[in-house]
Amino acid sequence: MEIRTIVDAGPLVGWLNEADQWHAWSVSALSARRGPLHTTEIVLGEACWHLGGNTQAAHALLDLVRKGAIVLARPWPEHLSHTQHVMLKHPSMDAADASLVSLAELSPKAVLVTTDRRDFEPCRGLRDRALKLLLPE
Amino acid sequence: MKTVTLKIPDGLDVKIRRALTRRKENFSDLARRALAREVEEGDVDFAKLAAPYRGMFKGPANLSSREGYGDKNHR
Repeated sequence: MEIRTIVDAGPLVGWLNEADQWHAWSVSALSARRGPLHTTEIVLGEACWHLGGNTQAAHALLDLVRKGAIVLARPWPEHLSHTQHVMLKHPSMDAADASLVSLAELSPKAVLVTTDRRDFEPCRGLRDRALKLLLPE
Repeated sequence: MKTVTLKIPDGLDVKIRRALTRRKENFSDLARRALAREVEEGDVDFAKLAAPYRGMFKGPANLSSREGYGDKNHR
């Protein structure tokens, strides 16, 4: 399956949380994407953690994985050394963010949807290519 | 373009022939359109499937922007 959209934890949380500052943006950005969203297990875990662990909202995300609306891509362990290189190159990035950079580099046509301008905007992949980002204005 | 062979029940064949006559269309065009629609509608779409969960709770306004596992304050 061709990966067209990679999603960070922020827009997933923003979709579910009506009071979120990025709720309207998340709904608009993700509604405009066709097909399923792709993310990594560590990012899904991060989103569930933000949603309070074992909560209805966390279960909603897990349901969306079961239904195929969110697809878990697995850049690890095959591309783990790439992820670590990204982390070393960008010290503000954690393993979850860097897993998405690895996934984006493996899927050059994909757009990465995130609310995290600070970490992702300055990030360039290991091949020094800018990532295709969809960020709030 | 690929050529495919399709087996269809007699009853469906009668209905298709009638529709083709009515629409002045050939079988290939109708089959291509029907198959394309079936495949496209079968595609999983996040926005459609996630619609019932949109805004399902009210949490902190900055929840989507909070630091993840990299939050140095957790160390």
